[in-house]
Amino acid sequence: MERLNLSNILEIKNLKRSFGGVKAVDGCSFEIESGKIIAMIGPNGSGKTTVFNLISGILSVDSGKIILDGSNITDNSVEERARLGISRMYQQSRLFKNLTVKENLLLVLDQRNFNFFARSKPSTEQTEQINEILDLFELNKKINMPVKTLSFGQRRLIEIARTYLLPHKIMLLDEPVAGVTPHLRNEISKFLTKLKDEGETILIIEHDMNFVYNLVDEVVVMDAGKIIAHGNPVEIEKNQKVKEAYLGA
Amino acid sequence: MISSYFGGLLIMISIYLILALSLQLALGFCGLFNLGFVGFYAIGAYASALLALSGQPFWFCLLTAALVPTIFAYILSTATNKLKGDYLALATMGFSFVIYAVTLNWIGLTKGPLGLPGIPRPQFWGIDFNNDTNFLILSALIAILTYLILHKIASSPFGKTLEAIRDDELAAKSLGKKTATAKSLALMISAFFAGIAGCLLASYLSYIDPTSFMFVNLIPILTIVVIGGLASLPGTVFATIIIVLLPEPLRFIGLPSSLIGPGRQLLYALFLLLILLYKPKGFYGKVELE
Repeated sequence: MERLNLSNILEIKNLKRSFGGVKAVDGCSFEIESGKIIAMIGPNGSGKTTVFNLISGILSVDSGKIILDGSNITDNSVEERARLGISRMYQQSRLFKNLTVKENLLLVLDQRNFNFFARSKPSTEQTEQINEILDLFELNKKINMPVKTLSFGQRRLIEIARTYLLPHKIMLLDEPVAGVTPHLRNEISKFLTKLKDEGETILIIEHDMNFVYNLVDEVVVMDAGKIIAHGNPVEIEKNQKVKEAYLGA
Repeated sequence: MISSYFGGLLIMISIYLILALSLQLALGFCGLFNLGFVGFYAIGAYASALLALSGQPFWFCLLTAALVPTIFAYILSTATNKLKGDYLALATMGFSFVIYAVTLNWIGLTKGPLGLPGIPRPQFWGIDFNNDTNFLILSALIAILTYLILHKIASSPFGKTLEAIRDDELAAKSLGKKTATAKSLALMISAFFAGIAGCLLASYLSYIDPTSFMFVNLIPILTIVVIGGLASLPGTVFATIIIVLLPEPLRFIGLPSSLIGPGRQLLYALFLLLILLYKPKGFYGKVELE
Protein backbone atom coordinates (compact mmCIF):
# COMPACT_ATOMS: atom_id res chain seq x y z
CA MET A 1 0.00 0.00 0.00
CA GLU A 2 1.26 3.47 -0.90
CA ARG A 3 2.47 5.53 2.08
CA LEU A 4 1.42 9.12 1.88
CA ASN A 5 3.87 11.75 2.97
CA LEU A 6 1.65 13.79 5.25
CA SER A 7 3.92 16.82 5.23
CA ASN A 8 3.02 17.18 1.54
CA ILE A 9 0.00 19.37 0.95
CA LEU A 10 -0.21 18.37 -2.70
CA GLU A 11 1.03 15.30 -4.53
CA ILE A 12 0.76 14.96 -8.29
CA LYS A 13 1.34 11.39 -9.45
CA ASN A 14 1.99 10.59 -13.09
CA LEU A 15 -0.65 12.94 -14.49
CA LYS A 16 -1.53 12.51 -18.13
CA ARG A 17 -3.87 14.47 -20.32
CA SER A 18 -4.15 14.56 -24.09
CA PHE A 19 -6.21 16.63 -26.50
CA GLY A 20 -6.70 14.51 -29.57
CA GLY A 21 -3.22 13.40 -30.51
CA VAL A 22 -1.47 16.11 -28.48
CA LYS A 23 -0.04 15.06 -25.12
CA ALA A 24 -0.50 18.27 -23.17
CA VAL A 25 0.64 16.68 -19.90
CA ASP A 26 2.65 13.51 -20.19
CA GLY A 27 3.49 11.78 -16.92
CA CYS A 28 3.88 14.74 -14.61
CA SER A 29 4.78 14.00 -10.96
CA PHE A 30 5.86 16.25 -8.09
CA GLU A 31 5.04 17.05 -4.47
CA ILE A 32 4.60 20.29 -2.62
CA GLU A 33 5.50 20.36 1.05
CA SER A 34 3.46 22.43 3.45
CA GLY A 35 4.79 25.97 3.73
CA LYS A 36 6.74 25.92 0.47
CA ILE A 37 6.40 28.15 -2.55
CA ILE A 38 7.02 26.41 -5.84
CA ALA A 39 7.21 28.00 -9.27
CA MET A 40 6.27 26.25 -12.47
CA ILE A 41 8.09 27.60 -15.47
CA GLY A 42 8.38 26.56 -19.07
CA PRO A 43 7.88 27.79 -22.61
CA ASN A 44 4.39 28.59 -23.88
CA GLY A 45 2.48 25.39 -24.55
CA SER A 46 4.57 23.30 -22.19
CA GLY A 47 1.52 22.23 -20.18
CA LYS A 48 1.72 24.45 -17.08
CA THR A 49 -1.83 25.81 -17.22
CA THR A 50 -3.11 22.35 -18.16
CA VAL A 51 -1.55 21.02 -14.95
CA PHE A 52 -3.32 23.80 -13.05
CA ASN A 53 -6.59 22.92 -14.76
CA LEU A 54 -6.12 19.26 -13.81
CA ILE A 55 -5.35 20.14 -10.17
CA SER A 56 -8.32 22.50 -9.86
CA GLY A 57 -10.68 20.09 -11.63
CA ILE A 58 -11.53 22.10 -14.72
CA LEU A 59 -10.11 19.25 -16.78
CA SER A 60 -10.34 15.57 -15.93
CA VAL A 61 -7.20 13.48 -15.98
CA ASP A 62 -6.66 10.73 -18.52
CA SER A 63 -4.62 8.93 -15.88
CA GLY A 64 -2.75 9.70 -12.69
CA LYS A 65 -3.67 10.92 -9.23
CA ILE A 66 -3.99 14.17 -7.37
CA ILE A 67 -3.68 13.92 -3.59
CA LEU A 68 -4.56 16.95 -1.47
CA ASP A 69 -3.47 16.75 2.16
CA GLY A 70 -3.71 12.97 2.13
CA SER A 71 -7.03 12.72 0.26
CA ASN A 72 -7.37 11.56 -3.31
CA ILE A 73 -9.28 14.32 -5.11
CA THR A 74 -8.75 13.10 -8.67
CA ASP A 75 -12.46 12.59 -9.27
CA ASN A 76 -13.81 15.57 -7.32
CA SER A 77 -15.57 18.45 -9.06
CA VAL A 78 -14.20 22.01 -9.23
CA GLU A 79 -16.39 23.24 -6.40
CA GLU A 80 -15.59 20.22 -4.23
CA ARG A 81 -11.86 20.80 -4.65
CA ALA A 82 -12.33 24.46 -3.79
CA ARG A 83 -14.13 23.50 -0.59
CA LEU A 84 -11.40 20.98 0.21
CA GLY A 85 -8.76 23.68 0.04
CA ILE A 86 -7.65 24.52 -3.49
CA SER A 87 -7.81 28.23 -4.13
CA ARG A 88 -7.01 29.22 -7.67
CA MET A 89 -6.24 32.47 -9.45
CA TYR A 90 -6.61 32.39 -13.24
CA GLN A 91 -4.41 33.79 -15.96
CA GLN A 92 -7.37 35.78 -17.37
CA SER A 93 -9.39 37.96 -15.04
CA ARG A 94 -12.29 36.02 -13.55
CA LEU A 95 -13.77 38.56 -11.18
CA PHE A 96 -17.54 39.06 -11.06
CA LYS A 97 -17.48 42.20 -13.14
CA ASN A 98 -20.94 43.55 -12.32
CA LEU A 99 -20.40 43.23 -8.58
CA THR A 100 -18.44 45.61 -6.39
CA VAL A 101 -15.03 44.91 -4.88
CA LYS A 102 -16.68 44.28 -1.51
CA GLU A 103 -19.26 41.90 -3.02
CA ASN A 104 -16.52 39.99 -4.84
CA LEU A 105 -14.59 39.48 -1.62
CA LEU A 106 -17.66 38.80 0.49
CA LEU A 107 -18.68 35.97 -1.83
CA VAL A 108 -15.50 34.22 -0.75
CA LEU A 109 -16.01 34.75 2.97
CA ASP A 110 -19.78 34.23 3.16
CA GLN A 111 -20.53 30.55 2.76
CA ARG A 112 -24.29 30.89 3.40
CA ASN A 113 -24.87 30.15 -0.30
CA PHE A 114 -28.46 28.96 0.01
CA ASN A 115 -29.64 31.40 2.60
CA PHE A 116 -32.50 33.22 0.89
CA PHE A 117 -33.57 35.57 3.57
CA ALA A 118 -30.47 36.78 5.38
CA ARG A 119 -29.05 40.10 4.33
CA SER A 120 -25.87 39.83 2.29
CA LYS A 121 -23.92 41.97 4.71
CA PRO A 122 -20.48 41.19 6.10
CA SER A 123 -20.04 40.37 9.77
CA THR A 124 -17.61 42.45 11.83
CA GLU A 125 -14.89 39.85 11.37
CA GLN A 126 -15.48 39.68 7.61
CA THR A 127 -15.43 43.47 7.35
CA GLU A 128 -12.07 43.50 9.16
CA GLN A 129 -10.64 40.85 6.83
CA ILE A 130 -11.79 42.76 3.75
CA ASN A 131 -10.53 46.11 5.03
CA GLU A 132 -7.20 44.62 6.05
CA ILE A 133 -6.45 43.20 2.64
CA LEU A 134 -7.69 46.27 0.78
CA ASP A 135 -5.51 48.38 3.08
CA LEU A 136 -2.51 46.30 2.16
CA PHE A 137 -3.19 46.84 -1.53
CA GLU A 138 -4.20 50.51 -1.05
CA LEU A 139 -7.61 49.83 -2.59
CA ASN A 140 -9.90 50.89 0.28
CA LYS A 141 -11.39 53.71 -1.76
CA LYS A 142 -12.49 51.21 -4.40
CA ILE A 143 -14.42 49.01 -1.99
CA ASN A 144 -17.87 49.94 -3.30
CA MET A 145 -16.91 50.31 -6.97
CA PRO A 146 -17.89 47.70 -9.55
CA VAL A 147 -14.77 45.76 -10.43
CA LYS A 148 -15.23 46.51 -14.11
CA THR A 149 -14.27 50.12 -13.34
CA LEU A 150 -10.87 49.07 -11.95
CA SER A 151 -7.66 49.09 -13.93
CA PHE A 152 -6.08 45.81 -15.04
CA GLY A 153 -3.49 45.92 -12.26
CA GLN A 154 -6.09 46.70 -9.61
CA ARG A 155 -8.17 43.75 -10.78
CA ARG A 156 -5.15 41.47 -10.48
CA LEU A 157 -4.74 42.63 -6.89
CA ILE A 158 -8.39 41.91 -6.11
CA GLU A 159 -8.01 38.47 -7.66
CA ILE A 160 -5.01 37.78 -5.46
CA ALA A 161 -6.97 39.05 -2.46
CA ARG A 162 -9.88 36.79 -3.35
CA THR A 163 -7.60 33.78 -3.79
CA TYR A 164 -6.01 34.48 -0.40
CA LEU A 165 -9.29 35.04 1.46
CA LEU A 166 -10.87 31.78 0.30
CA PRO A 167 -10.18 29.24 3.08
CA HIS A 168 -7.48 27.09 1.54
CA LYS A 169 -4.64 24.63 1.98
CA ILE A 170 -2.84 25.68 -1.16
CA MET A 171 -3.01 28.68 -3.48
CA LEU A 172 -2.53 28.26 -7.22
CA LEU A 173 -1.50 31.50 -8.87
CA ASP A 174 -1.41 31.59 -12.66
CA GLU A 175 0.93 34.39 -13.77
CA PRO A 176 0.02 36.82 -10.99
CA VAL A 177 2.27 39.62 -12.26
CA ALA A 178 1.69 39.26 -16.00
CA GLY A 179 0.91 42.64 -17.52
CA VAL A 180 1.18 44.69 -14.31
CA THR A 181 3.36 47.73 -13.75
CA PRO A 182 6.75 47.37 -12.01
CA HIS A 183 5.30 49.13 -8.94
CA LEU A 184 2.45 46.62 -8.69
CA ARG A 185 4.83 43.75 -9.29
CA ASN A 186 6.78 44.89 -6.23
CA GLU A 187 3.58 45.12 -4.20
CA ILE A 188 2.59 41.60 -5.22
CA SER A 189 6.09 40.32 -4.52
CA LYS A 190 6.01 41.86 -1.03
CA PHE A 191 2.60 40.30 -0.40
CA LEU A 192 3.75 36.85 -1.48
CA THR A 193 6.86 37.18 0.68
CA LYS A 194 4.59 38.00 3.60
CA LEU A 195 2.53 34.89 2.82
CA LYS A 196 5.71 32.83 2.69
CA ASP A 197 6.66 34.08 6.15
CA GLU A 198 3.19 33.06 7.35
CA GLY A 199 3.80 29.50 6.11
CA GLU A 200 1.45 29.54 3.13
CA THR A 201 1.77 26.85 0.49
CA ILE A 202 1.73 28.30 -3.02
CA LEU A 203 2.21 27.02 -6.55
CA ILE A 204 2.89 29.76 -9.08
CA ILE A 205 3.09 29.78 -12.86
CA GLU A 206 5.29 32.65 -13.90
CA HIS A 207 7.51 33.69 -16.81
CA ASP A 208 9.37 36.45 -14.99
CA MET A 209 12.56 34.70 -13.84
CA ASN A 210 13.70 37.47 -11.53
CA PHE A 211 10.34 37.53 -9.79
CA VAL A 212 10.41 33.78 -9.30
CA TYR A 213 14.02 33.31 -8.21
CA ASN A 214 13.79 35.89 -5.42
CA LEU A 215 10.68 34.34 -3.95
CA VAL A 216 10.40 30.59 -4.35
CA ASP A 217 11.84 27.55 -2.60
CA GLU A 218 11.74 25.25 -5.62
CA VAL A 219 11.22 25.44 -9.36
CA VAL A 220 9.54 22.84 -11.57
CA VAL A 221 10.40 23.22 -15.23
CA MET A 222 8.08 21.84 -17.90
CA ASP A 223 8.59 21.34 -21.58
CA ALA A 224 6.30 19.54 -24.04
CA GLY A 225 4.10 18.19 -21.25
CA LYS A 226 6.94 16.69 -19.20
CA ILE A 227 8.90 17.86 -16.19
CA ILE A 228 12.48 18.30 -17.33
CA ALA A 229 13.92 19.69 -14.09
CA HIS A 230 12.98 20.17 -10.45
CA GLY A 231 15.17 21.86 -7.87
CA ASN A 232 16.01 25.08 -6.09
CA PRO A 233 16.37 28.26 -8.19
CA VAL A 234 20.18 28.15 -8.18
CA GLU A 235 20.24 24.56 -9.49
CA ILE A 236 17.66 25.37 -12.15
CA GLU A 237 19.56 28.40 -13.34
CA LYS A 238 22.60 26.21 -14.02
CA ASN A 239 20.64 23.32 -15.55
CA GLN A 240 21.63 22.82 -19.18
CA LYS A 241 18.35 21.19 -20.23
CA VAL A 242 16.45 24.19 -18.85
CA LYS A 243 18.73 26.59 -20.66
CA GLU A 244 18.12 24.81 -23.95
CA ALA A 245 14.37 24.40 -23.58
CA TYR A 246 13.46 27.65 -21.95
CA LEU A 247 16.13 30.19 -21.57
CA GLY A 248 17.32 29.68 -25.17
CA ALA A 249 20.99 29.39 -24.30
CA MET B 1 -64.93 52.67 -7.85
CA ILE B 2 -62.38 52.31 -10.64
CA SER B 3 -63.65 52.11 -14.22
CA SER B 4 -63.68 48.65 -15.72
CA TYR B 5 -61.16 49.60 -18.40
CA PHE B 6 -58.69 51.21 -16.04
CA GLY B 7 -59.16 48.46 -13.46
CA GLY B 8 -58.46 45.86 -16.15
CA LEU B 9 -55.24 47.64 -17.08
CA LEU B 10 -54.07 47.69 -13.48
CA ILE B 11 -54.88 44.00 -13.06
CA MET B 12 -52.85 43.17 -16.17
CA ILE B 13 -50.01 45.32 -14.84
CA SER B 14 -50.08 43.25 -11.64
CA ILE B 15 -50.05 39.96 -13.54
CA TYR B 16 -47.31 41.05 -15.93
CA LEU B 17 -45.30 42.42 -13.02
CA ILE B 18 -45.32 39.03 -11.30
CA LEU B 19 -44.25 37.37 -14.56
CA ALA B 20 -41.51 39.90 -15.26
CA LEU B 21 -40.14 39.84 -11.72
CA SER B 22 -39.92 36.05 -11.81
CA LEU B 23 -38.15 36.10 -15.19
CA GLN B 24 -35.84 38.80 -13.84
CA LEU B 25 -34.63 36.47 -11.08
CA ALA B 26 -33.68 33.74 -13.54
CA LEU B 27 -32.39 35.93 -16.39
CA GLY B 28 -31.25 39.18 -14.83
CA PHE B 29 -29.76 37.82 -11.62
CA CYS B 30 -28.65 34.34 -12.68
CA GLY B 31 -28.10 34.76 -16.42
CA LEU B 32 -30.35 31.81 -17.32
CA PHE B 33 -31.61 32.49 -20.80
CA ASN B 34 -34.75 30.46 -20.24
CA LEU B 35 -37.10 30.63 -23.21
CA GLY B 36 -39.40 28.02 -21.69
CA PHE B 37 -40.77 30.55 -19.25
CA VAL B 38 -44.17 30.79 -20.93
CA GLY B 39 -44.52 27.04 -20.36
CA PHE B 40 -44.51 27.59 -16.59
CA TYR B 41 -47.11 30.34 -16.97
CA ALA B 42 -49.29 27.95 -19.00
CA ILE B 43 -48.94 25.08 -16.55
CA GLY B 44 -49.96 27.36 -13.67
CA ALA B 45 -52.94 28.73 -15.57
CA TYR B 46 -54.27 25.35 -16.69
CA ALA B 47 -53.62 23.65 -13.33
CA SER B 48 -55.53 26.31 -11.42
CA ALA B 49 -58.29 26.56 -14.06
CA LEU B 50 -58.97 22.82 -14.00
CA LEU B 51 -59.06 22.75 -10.22
CA ALA B 52 -61.27 25.85 -10.02
CA LEU B 53 -63.69 24.34 -12.54
CA SER B 54 -63.90 21.23 -10.39
CA GLY B 55 -64.89 23.34 -7.40
CA GLN B 56 -61.61 23.47 -5.47
CA PRO B 57 -61.02 26.45 -3.16
CA PHE B 58 -58.90 29.32 -4.46
CA TRP B 59 -56.03 28.83 -2.02
CA PHE B 60 -55.62 25.22 -3.27
CA CYS B 61 -55.76 26.36 -6.89
CA LEU B 62 -53.14 29.04 -6.21
CA LEU B 63 -50.81 26.66 -4.37
CA THR B 64 -51.08 24.01 -7.07
CA ALA B 65 -50.54 26.64 -9.77
CA ALA B 66 -47.30 27.57 -8.01
CA LEU B 67 -46.02 24.09 -7.17
CA VAL B 68 -46.68 22.18 -10.39
CA PRO B 69 -44.54 24.50 -12.58
CA THR B 70 -41.89 24.36 -9.85
CA ILE B 71 -41.68 20.60 -10.24
CA PHE B 72 -41.41 20.97 -14.00
CA ALA B 73 -38.69 23.56 -13.50
CA TYR B 74 -36.74 21.09 -11.38
CA ILE B 75 -37.00 18.45 -14.12
CA LEU B 76 -36.05 20.96 -16.83
CA SER B 77 -33.09 22.30 -14.87
CA THR B 78 -31.78 18.80 -14.22
CA ALA B 79 -32.02 17.97 -17.92
CA THR B 80 -30.38 21.23 -19.07
CA ASN B 81 -27.85 21.70 -16.30
CA LYS B 82 -24.75 21.56 -18.44
CA LEU B 83 -26.17 23.82 -21.15
CA LYS B 84 -25.45 27.51 -21.42
CA GLY B 85 -26.31 30.51 -23.55
CA ASP B 86 -27.80 29.64 -26.93
CA TYR B 87 -27.99 25.92 -26.17
CA LEU B 88 -29.96 26.52 -22.98
CA ALA B 89 -32.22 28.92 -24.88
CA LEU B 90 -32.93 26.32 -27.57
CA ALA B 91 -33.57 23.51 -25.12
CA THR B 92 -35.93 25.60 -23.01
CA MET B 93 -37.67 26.91 -26.11
CA GLY B 94 -38.37 23.28 -26.95
CA PHE B 95 -40.00 22.91 -23.55
CA SER B 96 -42.37 25.82 -24.20
CA PHE B 97 -43.33 24.34 -27.59
CA VAL B 98 -44.05 20.99 -25.95
CA ILE B 99 -46.29 22.61 -23.32
CA TYR B 100 -48.10 24.57 -26.01
CA ALA B 101 -48.57 21.39 -28.03
CA VAL B 102 -50.00 19.60 -25.00
CA THR B 103 -52.48 22.42 -24.28
CA LEU B 104 -53.52 22.37 -27.94
CA ASN B 105 -53.78 18.62 -28.45
CA TRP B 106 -54.71 17.03 -25.13
CA ILE B 107 -58.33 17.80 -25.84
CA GLY B 108 -59.64 15.48 -23.14
CA LEU B 109 -57.94 17.60 -20.47
CA THR B 110 -57.61 21.11 -21.87
CA LYS B 111 -60.34 21.14 -24.56
CA GLY B 112 -57.60 22.06 -27.02
CA PRO B 113 -58.20 25.17 -29.15
CA LEU B 114 -61.65 25.67 -27.61
CA GLY B 115 -60.05 26.51 -24.30
CA LEU B 116 -61.52 26.40 -20.80
CA PRO B 117 -64.43 28.81 -20.31
CA GLY B 118 -66.33 29.66 -17.15
CA ILE B 119 -63.38 29.66 -14.74
CA PRO B 120 -64.82 31.01 -11.50
CA ARG B 121 -63.34 34.01 -9.72
CA PRO B 122 -61.90 33.36 -6.25
CA GLN B 123 -64.30 33.04 -3.36
CA PHE B 124 -63.17 33.41 0.23
CA TRP B 125 -63.83 35.49 3.35
CA GLY B 126 -67.18 36.55 1.90
CA ILE B 127 -65.50 38.91 -0.59
CA ASP B 128 -67.04 39.26 -4.05
CA PHE B 129 -64.10 38.91 -6.45
CA ASN B 130 -66.41 39.20 -9.44
CA ASN B 131 -66.04 42.86 -8.59
CA ASP B 132 -62.95 43.98 -10.53
CA THR B 133 -61.88 46.40 -7.82
CA ASN B 134 -61.68 43.58 -5.29
CA PHE B 135 -59.83 41.40 -7.79
CA LEU B 136 -57.44 44.27 -8.45
CA ILE B 137 -56.67 44.55 -4.74
CA LEU B 138 -56.01 40.80 -4.57
CA SER B 139 -53.71 40.76 -7.61
CA ALA B 140 -51.92 43.94 -6.50
CA LEU B 141 -51.29 42.46 -3.05
CA ILE B 142 -49.88 39.29 -4.61
CA ALA B 143 -47.71 41.40 -6.93
CA ILE B 144 -46.39 43.45 -3.99
CA LEU B 145 -45.70 40.29 -2.01
CA THR B 146 -43.86 38.85 -5.01
CA TYR B 147 -41.72 41.96 -5.25
CA LEU B 148 -40.88 41.91 -1.54
CA ILE B 149 -39.97 38.20 -1.57
CA LEU B 150 -37.83 38.47 -4.70
CA HIS B 151 -36.15 41.61 -3.38
CA LYS B 152 -35.27 39.74 -0.22
CA ILE B 153 -33.91 36.82 -2.22
CA ALA B 154 -31.91 39.10 -4.55
CA SER B 155 -30.30 40.88 -1.58
CA SER B 156 -29.43 37.65 0.21
CA PRO B 157 -26.22 35.60 0.03
CA PHE B 158 -28.09 33.29 -2.36
CA GLY B 159 -28.88 36.27 -4.59
CA LYS B 160 -25.22 37.25 -4.71
CA THR B 161 -24.31 33.66 -5.57
CA LEU B 162 -26.72 33.86 -8.50
CA GLU B 163 -25.11 37.09 -9.69
CA ALA B 164 -21.69 35.48 -9.43
CA ILE B 165 -22.93 32.60 -11.59
CA ARG B 166 -24.28 35.08 -14.13
CA ASP B 167 -20.97 36.92 -14.34
CA ASP B 168 -18.68 33.88 -14.34
CA GLU B 169 -19.92 30.42 -13.45
CA LEU B 170 -16.48 28.83 -13.48
CA ALA B 171 -15.13 31.42 -11.08
CA ALA B 172 -18.14 30.81 -8.84
CA LYS B 173 -17.37 27.08 -8.84
CA SER B 174 -13.74 27.89 -8.01
CA LEU B 175 -15.00 29.57 -4.85
CA GLY B 176 -16.79 26.37 -3.84
CA LYS B 177 -20.28 27.48 -4.90
CA LYS B 178 -22.68 24.68 -5.87
CA THR B 179 -23.68 26.36 -9.09
CA ALA B 180 -25.87 23.56 -10.47
CA THR B 181 -28.03 23.57 -7.34
CA ALA B 182 -28.20 27.36 -7.30
CA LYS B 183 -29.30 27.54 -10.95
CA SER B 184 -31.90 24.88 -10.37
CA LEU B 185 -33.31 26.78 -7.41
CA ALA B 186 -33.39 30.03 -9.40
CA LEU B 187 -35.38 28.36 -12.15
CA MET B 188 -37.74 26.74 -9.65
CA ILE B 189 -38.43 30.03 -7.84
CA SER B 190 -38.99 31.73 -11.19
CA ALA B 191 -41.46 29.00 -12.22
CA PHE B 192 -43.24 29.22 -8.84
CA PHE B 193 -44.19 32.85 -9.39
CA ALA B 194 -44.90 32.38 -13.10
CA GLY B 195 -47.43 29.74 -12.09
CA ILE B 196 -49.06 32.18 -9.66
CA ALA B 197 -49.35 34.71 -12.48
CA GLY B 198 -51.00 32.01 -14.61
CA CYS B 199 -53.54 31.35 -11.85
CA LEU B 200 -54.41 35.05 -11.63
CA LEU B 201 -54.78 35.33 -15.40
CA ALA B 202 -57.12 32.33 -15.55
CA SER B 203 -59.22 33.67 -12.65
CA TYR B 204 -59.42 37.19 -14.06
CA LEU B 205 -60.30 36.35 -17.67
CA SER B 206 -62.49 33.39 -16.66
CA TYR B 207 -61.27 31.78 -19.87
CA ILE B 208 -57.95 30.48 -21.14
CA ASP B 209 -56.87 28.87 -24.38
CA PRO B 210 -53.51 27.85 -25.84
CA THR B 211 -53.04 31.10 -27.77
CA SER B 212 -52.33 32.96 -24.52
CA PHE B 213 -49.29 30.73 -24.00
CA MET B 214 -47.63 30.66 -27.37
CA PHE B 215 -43.90 31.27 -27.44
CA VAL B 216 -44.47 34.75 -28.92
CA ASN B 217 -46.14 35.80 -25.65
CA LEU B 218 -42.70 35.73 -24.05
CA ILE B 219 -41.75 38.83 -26.02
CA PRO B 220 -43.51 41.47 -23.87
CA ILE B 221 -42.17 39.88 -20.68
CA LEU B 222 -38.63 39.70 -22.03
CA THR B 223 -39.03 43.29 -23.24
CA ILE B 224 -39.98 44.40 -19.74
CA VAL B 225 -36.95 42.68 -18.20
CA VAL B 226 -34.53 44.16 -20.75
CA ILE B 227 -36.03 47.65 -20.79
CA GLY B 228 -36.23 47.88 -17.03
CA GLY B 229 -32.65 46.67 -16.83
CA LEU B 230 -31.18 43.30 -16.01
CA ALA B 231 -30.94 42.62 -12.27
CA SER B 232 -33.10 45.63 -11.43
CA LEU B 233 -36.37 44.98 -9.63
CA PRO B 234 -37.41 48.67 -9.50
CA GLY B 235 -36.64 48.86 -13.23
CA THR B 236 -38.95 45.91 -13.79
CA VAL B 237 -41.83 47.76 -12.09
CA PHE B 238 -41.24 50.84 -14.21
CA ALA B 239 -40.96 48.88 -17.43
CA THR B 240 -44.08 46.81 -16.73
CA ILE B 241 -46.18 49.94 -16.48
CA ILE B 242 -44.68 51.29 -19.73
CA ILE B 243 -45.09 48.08 -21.68
CA VAL B 244 -48.66 47.38 -20.59
CA LEU B 245 -49.74 50.96 -21.28
CA LEU B 246 -47.68 51.47 -24.46
CA PRO B 247 -50.02 49.77 -26.97
CA GLU B 248 -53.22 51.17 -25.44
CA PRO B 249 -53.39 54.19 -27.77
CA LEU B 250 -53.83 51.69 -30.61
CA ARG B 251 -57.36 51.08 -29.31
CA PHE B 252 -58.33 54.66 -29.88
CA ILE B 253 -56.89 55.40 -33.31
CA GLY B 254 -59.45 53.39 -35.24
CA LEU B 255 -57.31 50.37 -36.17
CA PRO B 256 -59.29 47.24 -37.07
CA SER B 257 -59.32 44.80 -34.16
CA SER B 258 -57.48 42.21 -36.27
CA LEU B 259 -54.53 44.58 -36.48
CA ILE B 260 -54.36 45.58 -32.84
CA GLY B 261 -52.67 42.31 -31.76
CA PRO B 262 -49.93 42.39 -34.44
CA GLY B 263 -49.59 46.14 -33.91
CA ARG B 264 -48.93 45.52 -30.24
CA GLN B 265 -46.22 42.95 -31.02
CA LEU B 266 -44.64 45.32 -33.52
CA LEU B 267 -44.51 48.11 -30.95
CA TYR B 268 -42.87 45.82 -28.37
CA ALA B 269 -40.26 44.64 -30.84
CA LEU B 270 -39.53 48.19 -31.99
CA PHE B 271 -39.21 49.47 -28.46
CA LEU B 272 -36.92 46.58 -27.54
CA LEU B 273 -34.68 47.24 -30.53
CA LEU B 274 -34.39 50.94 -29.68
CA ILE B 275 -33.46 50.19 -26.10
CA LEU B 276 -30.89 47.59 -27.11
CA LEU B 277 -29.33 50.08 -29.52
CA TYR B 278 -29.28 53.20 -27.38
CA LYS B 279 -29.53 52.00 -23.81
CA PRO B 280 -28.22 48.43 -23.65
CA LYS B 281 -28.44 48.30 -19.86
CA GLY B 282 -32.05 49.37 -19.92
CA PHE B 283 -33.31 52.20 -17.73
CA TYR B 284 -32.09 50.97 -14.37
CA GLY B 285 -29.92 47.92 -15.05
CA LYS B 286 -26.31 47.54 -14.06
CA VAL B 287 -25.69 44.59 -16.35
CA GLU B 288 -25.34 44.74 -20.09
CA LEU B 289 -27.11 42.07 -22.11
CA GLU B 290 -24.44 39.92 -23.77
